[in-house]
Amino acid sequence: MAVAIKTQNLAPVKLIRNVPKEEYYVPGHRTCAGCGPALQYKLVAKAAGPNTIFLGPTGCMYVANASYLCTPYTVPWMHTQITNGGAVASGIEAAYKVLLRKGKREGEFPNIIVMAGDGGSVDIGLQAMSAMMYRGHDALFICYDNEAYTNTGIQTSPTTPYGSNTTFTPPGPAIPEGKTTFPKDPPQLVIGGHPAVKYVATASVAYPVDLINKVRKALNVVGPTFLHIHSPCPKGWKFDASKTIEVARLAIETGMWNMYEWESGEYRYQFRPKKYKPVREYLKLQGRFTHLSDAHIAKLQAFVDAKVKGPGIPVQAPVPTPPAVH
Amino acid sequence: MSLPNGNRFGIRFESIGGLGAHAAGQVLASAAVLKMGLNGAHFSSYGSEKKGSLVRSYVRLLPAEQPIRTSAPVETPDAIVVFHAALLKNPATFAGLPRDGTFIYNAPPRSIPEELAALPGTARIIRVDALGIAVKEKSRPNAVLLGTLCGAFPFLDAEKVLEALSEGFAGKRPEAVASNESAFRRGAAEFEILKGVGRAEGDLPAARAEPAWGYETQPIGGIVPNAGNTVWNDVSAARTGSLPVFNRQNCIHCALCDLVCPDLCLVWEDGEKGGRFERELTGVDYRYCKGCMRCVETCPASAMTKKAETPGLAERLRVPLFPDLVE
Repeated sequence: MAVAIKTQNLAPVKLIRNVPKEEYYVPGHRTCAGCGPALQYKLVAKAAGPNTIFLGPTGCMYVANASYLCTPYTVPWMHTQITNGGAVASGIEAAYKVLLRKGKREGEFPNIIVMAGDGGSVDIGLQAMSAMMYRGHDALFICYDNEAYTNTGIQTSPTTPYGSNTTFTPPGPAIPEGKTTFPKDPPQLVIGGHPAVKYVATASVAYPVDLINKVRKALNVVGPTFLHIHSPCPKGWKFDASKTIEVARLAIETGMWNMYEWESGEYRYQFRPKKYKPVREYLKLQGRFTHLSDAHIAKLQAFVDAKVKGPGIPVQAPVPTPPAVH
Repeated sequence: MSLPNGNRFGIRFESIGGLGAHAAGQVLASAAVLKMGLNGAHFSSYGSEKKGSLVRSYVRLLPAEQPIRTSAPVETPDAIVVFHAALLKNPATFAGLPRDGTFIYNAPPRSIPEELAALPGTARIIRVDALGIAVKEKSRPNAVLLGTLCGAFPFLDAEKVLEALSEGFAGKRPEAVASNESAFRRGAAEFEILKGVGRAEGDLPAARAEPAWGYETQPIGGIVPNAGNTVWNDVSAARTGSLPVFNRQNCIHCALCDLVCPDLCLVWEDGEKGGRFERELTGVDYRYCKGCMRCVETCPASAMTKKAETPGLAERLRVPLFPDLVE
């Protein structure tokens, strides 16, 4: 007998004044000043409300927040390995279904949210995430994208943009642009390969009300959902801590980040500028791009130009330059 | 070349991530090894890669004929260099300073925190306004403090250390070389030796961190029984010299600051009944503010302004977020 999961209806927020005042992610956590991921965590927790279980695969939001016997979460939270955020979410969801069906537990079905970094979702954690999407568990998988493995010392990840200076892709005489490959596209990965998924969206810390509404929409959907949230990292991207929101907004205005929702095959775009700014404006704010030459920037611009024609349409990435042979 | 104190020399940098203690230790040790003909070792201890957490950086120097066979932390250093005055609240900062040791701390002029009474009366205590100088010279506090260290210990060849400092930056940021040099030179010249501050007698004991929880006392299953217990943490040491100051007259209570603050340090209360605002901002809890200045950047009404942090300012202006819970 299939259990009827009570569908919830978290109302969308229209104005800042309607944003709930309760906080479920409390202060005192040891993230850097100006942390982008911490801000999105706070907003997601606000949007989801008290009946929520967070799963935290290893990453900044586990290491900096939950030092031994310390948590800033006032809702149930569980650490999972970086590889298996999706698997743990599947298990918790299945257990709740059984407990509710057998009458061993009262109350409503909780919101199950995996809060994984880019490594925990589309690199090391990819198989568990993909399996959760494929099996159709009723959970929300969030990829907070700070575009590198930042808690271990800014190593490159599959979502690190072309041309970034990371500890694994330092620019030098042989490879002057730093990272030579173009990043993965997580929402397209989820949409393209997982028929059970009904709702996928991208969001940004620069537009908090939009972010809250997308989280609520994803939680209202029964079945697996995926959110890709742009969360600038002042330490890893090397910009001043006060500029986090400006950097996030410029990413959208230059087309480096595209805001859209995908619901059962339909795309809807948000904050799509009429005229995109050149990517150079976005790059010049960040220390990780200071080494790029005009040719590299042109290459990145070509990639972005192709992408913004229709976000959600796969892009033919330019072939990366092979490293010089000595 | 001979070193003071029985021909061996140990330095401990006490710092907060982002101020450059690790880089300072690296520069000093490489200058000693490559340019001054000494044996040297350097390592730092810190948690994950983030700004604002405690960093200790150790440098050990020995004469060239004497190899260094340990990589343990320097527990009884000849010199302790403190990068941030907030660290003086932690007694472990002073641990292991011998009676003839040197204690250098970074604070604005005329600032002599009472915590310094815990130092040995016979120790040399040096104050330098590293942050003030660094801000003026567009450099970092570590360049200033390296200068002060060389000024306090003439056997450390200031020119050689400066050379190593410049080499470190020449490749990455050539424009920083000149500003680092002037910061370094001002650090070497503009320090103040304080008299009659320390009250303790003899050497201070070395400290080893004992874990608060262990096999017998920890909760079973790795659970955290009191969720949200980070509210008892004091993260104010993460601020690097400035803080946002709230002016209620200008505030339109739009809550934009609250939507960009990752640390929830803004304190709200219900507005007056029948008044214009449903919720009103009353102030900032500086216990949790890390000084990212995003509220200042975002505020449309100039109610938040960036101010240099002077001793006691945060305590004076603080509005507690959890008055019943956290003191």
